[in-house]
Amino acid sequence: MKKIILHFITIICLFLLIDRILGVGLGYLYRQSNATDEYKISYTVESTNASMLFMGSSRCLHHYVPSIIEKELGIDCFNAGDWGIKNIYYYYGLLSNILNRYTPKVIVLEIHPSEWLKLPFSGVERAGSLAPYCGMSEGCDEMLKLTGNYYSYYISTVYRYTGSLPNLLLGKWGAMDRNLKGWKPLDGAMDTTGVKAEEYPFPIDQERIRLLERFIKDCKQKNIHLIIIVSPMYACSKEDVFKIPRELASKNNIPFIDHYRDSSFVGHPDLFYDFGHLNRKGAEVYSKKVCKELNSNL
Amino acid sequence: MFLLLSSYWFYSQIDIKMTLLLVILTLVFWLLGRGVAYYLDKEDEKRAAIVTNVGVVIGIGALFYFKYLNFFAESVTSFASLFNIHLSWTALHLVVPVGLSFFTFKLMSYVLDIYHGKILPEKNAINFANYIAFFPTILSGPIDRPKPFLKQMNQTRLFNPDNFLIGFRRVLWGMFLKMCVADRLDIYVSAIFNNYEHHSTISIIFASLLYPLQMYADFGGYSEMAIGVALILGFQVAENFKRPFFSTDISEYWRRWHISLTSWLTDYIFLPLNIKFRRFGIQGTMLAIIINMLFVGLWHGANWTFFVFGLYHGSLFIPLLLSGHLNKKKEIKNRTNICSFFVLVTKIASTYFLVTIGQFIFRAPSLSDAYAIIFHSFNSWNGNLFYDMPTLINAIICLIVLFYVDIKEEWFTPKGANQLRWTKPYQVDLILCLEIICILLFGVFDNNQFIYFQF
Amino acid sequence: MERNEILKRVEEIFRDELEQENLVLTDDTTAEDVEGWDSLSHIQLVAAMEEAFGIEFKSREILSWDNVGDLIDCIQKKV
Repeated sequence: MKKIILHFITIICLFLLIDRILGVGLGYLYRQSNATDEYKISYTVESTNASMLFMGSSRCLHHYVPSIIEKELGIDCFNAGDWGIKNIYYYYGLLSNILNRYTPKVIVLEIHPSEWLKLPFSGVERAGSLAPYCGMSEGCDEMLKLTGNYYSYYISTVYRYTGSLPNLLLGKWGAMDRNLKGWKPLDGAMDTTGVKAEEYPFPIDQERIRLLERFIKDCKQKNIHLIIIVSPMYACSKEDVFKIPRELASKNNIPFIDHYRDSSFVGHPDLFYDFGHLNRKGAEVYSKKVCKELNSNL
Repeated sequence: MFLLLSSYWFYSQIDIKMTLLLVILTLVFWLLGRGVAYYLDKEDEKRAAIVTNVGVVIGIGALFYFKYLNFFAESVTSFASLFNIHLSWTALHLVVPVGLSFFTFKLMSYVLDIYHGKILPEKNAINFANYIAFFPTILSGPIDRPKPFLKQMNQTRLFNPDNFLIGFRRVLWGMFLKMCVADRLDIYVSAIFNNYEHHSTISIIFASLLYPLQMYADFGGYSEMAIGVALILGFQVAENFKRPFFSTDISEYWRRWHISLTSWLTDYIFLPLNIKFRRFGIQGTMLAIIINMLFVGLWHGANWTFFVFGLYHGSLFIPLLLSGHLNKKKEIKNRTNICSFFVLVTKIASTYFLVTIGQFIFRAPSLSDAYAIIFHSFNSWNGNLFYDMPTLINAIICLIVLFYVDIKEEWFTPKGANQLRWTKPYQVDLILCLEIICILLFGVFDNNQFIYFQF
Repeated sequence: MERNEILKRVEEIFRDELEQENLVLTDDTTAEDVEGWDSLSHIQLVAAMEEAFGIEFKSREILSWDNVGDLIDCIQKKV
């Protein structure tokens, strides 16, 4: 029996040691990788000092061209959008980490129904992408605790990188071009067969709305100009999809720029890659258009 | 006693109503066992046979009721409707008790073994109940035979630290298999099969070829964990998988895949049938094999896909039987000619390919789904292979580890080698630690993982 | 018939069926001890013995044998 206890103590000690060492190595690879998640999150949290940050999901990632906006507005920007359907759980944690290090002047949030509706395919687990930064800020840890894995992340640094070794090993061969300052262009035009507007028949999620309100409050507290924006879609729903964020923005005196039904984009397949994402040309046209509005709101 | 209570507690966490069923059946069969032995002692074979048959009927009855009744009734109804006879059947909403297929087999083998004089009835009801309800193996096997297990229950088990470590190691290996290999492959395979209408033929073929590996890692992983936990408790239970994909023909495959199930069916279904059919020579044996494989298939569930699966595998034995390959005596003679590496690889590959076809049928939710996928595949040759790099690379890394371990165990480990296989005292701790870290790095920990792609 | 006689004849049958000229059987021999004696050849051996001794076994009897000794006892009862 004593032998077993000794074995277990040895295993635990070895584990803590090896886990920490590997964690440092994995963290290094994480920063170097050009895979989308790895680059975006690490650069946003650790490196960028841009005055204007664009936050959001894939629609943000593919739509805002920092080089165009910087030229027009004369402020340095970084596109911190990330792929997949991230949501407010992720953004709130990310914001906390950013604010832990520096305070941007402007944040432009590309909003999506996952910020206030209970989408079954986009929930609290999205905050798990921030696991490598467990322990960095209270807000981020709070989100990680919601995922239910906080204590696992706390104990094991290797676990924070679970499943992502292939992306970590990609290094320079990842999908992101760092020269584009966070923008990921989509090349190609849309196939319009059978495309319908996306509908959102999902219940309202009060928890997410509360988090959105906290996001707004935290920005205000740090005197950050927060702008909420919606970029165009190829086909639009007849419902007033963005009612809730519009009301929330107005209640909090936040500018709300709505291009959802923008006729210069809606129904133009040459500007889109698919029903919800602009292609390279579309993004450049859109970024140019949005500059004036952003300027007037600063 | 403590073990029994923990086993019952464990089972009740899963399904409390069925725990009652489990206890009642255990008691009934314990009494039946004593009854059979009583009549055998009195040389009253007839009554002993009756009591045994009662036991078998109860066991099969319980299985049939919970698992197969709906299937049977619906099949009868649809068959009758072919003749314009309209029967009505409202499906019973029965939840199949978890582990039912496993413990009913144990119960039946108990009375059957007593009847055939292989064991004496267990005097201690608690020991018997422990055999049936043993929590590491109750949910998904392996299926233990009464003799080896009860023997261990009746011995005083001393705590053996080596067994503890070996068991712990097997649990970790099982976790690796399940979480890092099986679940990872599942992400890809399910992405293809659940959306087959959007995928090309080559993707479907690739996913089908990966599926048997997934099943091996999945079920093999559970078995490893069960065997490991049992070992930690001091019990040796039956092995269930013996690197089945290194088999050179289908009969060897079934000696290496889900061993506890196939050996149970061989001993209690195939052998008696084969004996009964012995007057019919080779055709008798063929029939016995096909019936046996049908049982193997249908044991997995109440669906025509499992029936076809069993039939398919049964018919694969026919060429082997006819060419005399199954007869070990000829096998030994031929072995000296088959030593070339190339032939070995070809045999392994062709066996794997045959198994893939069977598993494809096995996975389909229904026969019509299977047809639909095949039909779709005939028309989708002009598509590219779908792949998601991170998932596949994770899977490939873990598969390489799996192949390495299996190849080492199959061809480079002498029989009966010390399972711990290390010489330095702290090597074991290091290896266990690294295994834990691998599981943390490569495991699939949530059910939300899916491959994000747009149609 | 003498027990030893039966054993000798059974040994002959086994040697024939399993094609092993030097096979020796004792009362304690089991299937595990003999190469080539598996569930399939078992049936062939049974059929061969039934023919050789002109007897018929019951299924239950066949299933009850644990070793060659049980087998011999069974034959002895019938001959």
